[in-house]
Amino acid sequence: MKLWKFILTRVGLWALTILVGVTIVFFIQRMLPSDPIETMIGKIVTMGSTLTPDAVQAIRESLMKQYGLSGSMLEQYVATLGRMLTLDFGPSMSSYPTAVSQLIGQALPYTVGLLLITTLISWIVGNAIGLLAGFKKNAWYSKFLETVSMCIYPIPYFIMALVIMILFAYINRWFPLIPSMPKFSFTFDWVKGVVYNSFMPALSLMLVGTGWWIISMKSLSSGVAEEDFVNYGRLKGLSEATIGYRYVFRNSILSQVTALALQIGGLFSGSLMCEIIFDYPGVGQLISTAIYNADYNLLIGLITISIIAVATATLIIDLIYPFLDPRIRYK
Amino acid sequence: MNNNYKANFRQVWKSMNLRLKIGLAIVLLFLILGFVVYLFSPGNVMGLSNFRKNLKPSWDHLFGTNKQGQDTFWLLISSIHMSMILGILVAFFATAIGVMMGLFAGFVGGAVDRVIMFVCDSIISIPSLPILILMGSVLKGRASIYIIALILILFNWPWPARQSRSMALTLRERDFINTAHFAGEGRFKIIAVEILPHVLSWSMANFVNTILVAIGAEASLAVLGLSSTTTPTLGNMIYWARQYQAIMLKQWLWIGSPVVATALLFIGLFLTYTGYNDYTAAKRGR
Amino acid sequence: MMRLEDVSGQYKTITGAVQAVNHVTFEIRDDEIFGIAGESGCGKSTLLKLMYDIVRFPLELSGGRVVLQTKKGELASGEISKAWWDQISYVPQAAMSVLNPVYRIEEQFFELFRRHRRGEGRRAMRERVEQYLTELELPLDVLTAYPHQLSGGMRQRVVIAMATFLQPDMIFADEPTTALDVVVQRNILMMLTGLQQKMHNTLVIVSHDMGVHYQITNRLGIMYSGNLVELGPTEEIFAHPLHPYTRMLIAALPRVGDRSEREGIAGAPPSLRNPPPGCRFAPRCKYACPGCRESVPVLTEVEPGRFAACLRMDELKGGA
Repeated sequence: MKLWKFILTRVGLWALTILVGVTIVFFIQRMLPSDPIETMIGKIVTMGSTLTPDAVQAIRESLMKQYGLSGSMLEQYVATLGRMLTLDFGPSMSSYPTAVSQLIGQALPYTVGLLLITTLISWIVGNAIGLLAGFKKNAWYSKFLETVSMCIYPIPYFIMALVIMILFAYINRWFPLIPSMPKFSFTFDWVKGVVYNSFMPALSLMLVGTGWWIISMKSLSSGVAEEDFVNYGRLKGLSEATIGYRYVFRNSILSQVTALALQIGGLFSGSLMCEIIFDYPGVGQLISTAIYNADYNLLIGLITISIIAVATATLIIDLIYPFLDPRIRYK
Repeated sequence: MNNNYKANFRQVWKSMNLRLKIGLAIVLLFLILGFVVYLFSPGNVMGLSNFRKNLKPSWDHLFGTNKQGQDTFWLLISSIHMSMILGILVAFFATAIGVMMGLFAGFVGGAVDRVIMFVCDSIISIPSLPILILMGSVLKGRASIYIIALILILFNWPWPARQSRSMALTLRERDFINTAHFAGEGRFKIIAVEILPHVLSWSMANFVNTILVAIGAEASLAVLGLSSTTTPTLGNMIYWARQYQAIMLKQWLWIGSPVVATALLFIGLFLTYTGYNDYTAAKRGR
Repeated sequence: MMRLEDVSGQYKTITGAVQAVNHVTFEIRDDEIFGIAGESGCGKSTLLKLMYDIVRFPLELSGGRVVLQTKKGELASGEISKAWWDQISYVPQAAMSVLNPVYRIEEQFFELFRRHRRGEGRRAMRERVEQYLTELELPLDVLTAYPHQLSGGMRQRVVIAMATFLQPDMIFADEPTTALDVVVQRNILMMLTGLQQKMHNTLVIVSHDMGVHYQITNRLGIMYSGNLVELGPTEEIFAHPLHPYTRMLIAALPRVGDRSEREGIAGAPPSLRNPPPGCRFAPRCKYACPGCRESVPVLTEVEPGRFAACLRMDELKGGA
């Protein structure tokens, strides 16, 4: 019974978070000091794109709708919400008439793929190393690993990205400066192409990510290793391996799952920065294009999708948690 | 009198762990660079074509000059100066406001508490970078560094508010508070005398961490060109270096010095933060 | 069964070593319930740890040794861990928090099986465990529960069941009844005595509660400030206590029908860092004489199996 209540609360919070986020985006749009529509139309015309007067009028109307300059504030707000539910963000201004949702749809898989794989790998590897370091916290390698992680973790993702770029693409020409993703096909060649072109951003994300998991898992598991039930496990004559896995690991990993949920926002922001630095064809690069072209439709769409993505990822992890912790599942 | 201070200092220094010492040393280095060395800066470092472009390092220009005709060394020093001011400003106000709101919410409770917590949770659960990007692009060009600071304060006060509220809640139940209450002490006096020391030590750690977060956020925006591009900060220096293809042109000092400086500063702040946490935990006998 | 030969133990602290157990020598026999009594801080828990050989920093064995003799052979301090759970087991203080929170109780029983016996199929193992719990009159649905779902008393009983499951020859229990209400206390004590009577093994009970010792122990040792000050059959000790400290401990116990005022023991145990010269109990002792503060009384055998460490015990033997 309590489990259902938990699920419902979490889903409710998810919806609320998205609502608040979209509301904030809504109000930020209204912070524009000058008439953005005419400015944008002016910019588009001067950029020399071949637009018929009808097309210009269509853009003006869609922009009016987007900015909700028709109707009262409440009507505008409700309309925005409605459009968001159908993921309709209108046409992109820099790549007219492609729909914003289409552009995002093309970029999103790359971002999700990158994030998923790097997060998974760094979480697993980081926790494994951290567990070892925490369990055997007096061994020399424990201190060493912790120190190294402490020097890597605080470095912002984009700094790490720049360092890797300089080292791996300029000084040693191992990886391409500008990635070119092969067209999708279910072949090994495609996989190889993607991996080769994604290696640098992935490495940046994984290095910093792993550092964090090592540090937090080490402190967690060394704390758990001091607990009464772990000591008692030893008195029962159980082997160190059993203690390490069944006692220390299974109890520390719970906090790490929660920590993962809390970190999703930061991980997402980090991957955005890395994508931008490396010109990786994901959501991040789209954002930098949108900024450069003052393509507000695209930008608003991207920001909204970002908020939804982060909230959803957090929700998924929160829902997994009860299956790992019996204290939540029962009573 | 002097001897007392020296002795006290030495004792405190000895009891600190290595991590904290190294962290403080690095932060001190940056404070010196950003505030003492800065005093000698010639001013208007951002001026284009101040000097001849692309000069090699010499005694006139320690790090040479860059493609914009700026002295790289003084540009770096000014950037460190500005970034640190921003970080400290944001961290100070965010922590101060956050702690006050949190304590207030925790002690008063009821509807006030719920409203404040709702606002905090909303701000915490929304990823900040996308929103910052949106705000940055809306204010593009017109944003002064202080507007950016204000926005960052807005995003960073909820976390200390949440933490100090939990502290207020647990402390509220503790016996020694009830004792003071029953002895007739006024509410605010209780807060000031009994609670504040606990909260203060946590706030110090959080303050250091927030400096890190603030500088990082501004730098992220700056690298995208969304910060106040005419103000010298570490992020902006990187932005302009990239704009002028510094990497391609192998202008290592121009792109490399802010990158290394940022990395080092963050490591220093982080070591101070965790070192301080370990230090206070050890003092409490954990 | 178990012999303690001049055992001393100390805790290494930043400001030096603190001697918690001093030159303790005695013997524990087969098929008995042996009690160790004394107030908090007297060193009885430390002694128990030394006996079970849980010697980890900052505790260290500073002198003598413990010898465990079982059907499988002899083991001395340092090797006793080989016998853990199989021949000797341990029920710790505050059994509330010693169970792994993420596994069901039956899983934790299976763990022991796999480690110390050949692990059999789950069904076979479960049958054995269920059979054992029924013998102990514990409800079977405890098995599918997680530790946090059980009450404190039930957890204590489960821990005892786990400790006795493999039928070890010796079971150490550190304050098994503290922090439990009287009804549960009685259940625990009955459970322990029932087990001992059935399996004819040895139970070593550490408790500050003299009432517990009176109820179930056969032989009793009294500790004060790290020293063993009296030893003998429980009934004898209660009937004719020799050491002044024992006398006062017993006098402090309430008795049914006796309405006279209980006499507490004034003062506090001495600091283990700077113990007073001579007999450590002298500062609080009613019968202390000048000689008591000069030399440390030695544990002497007054009658076969009856020991006490007091300079004036012969004189004081008269009164009860």
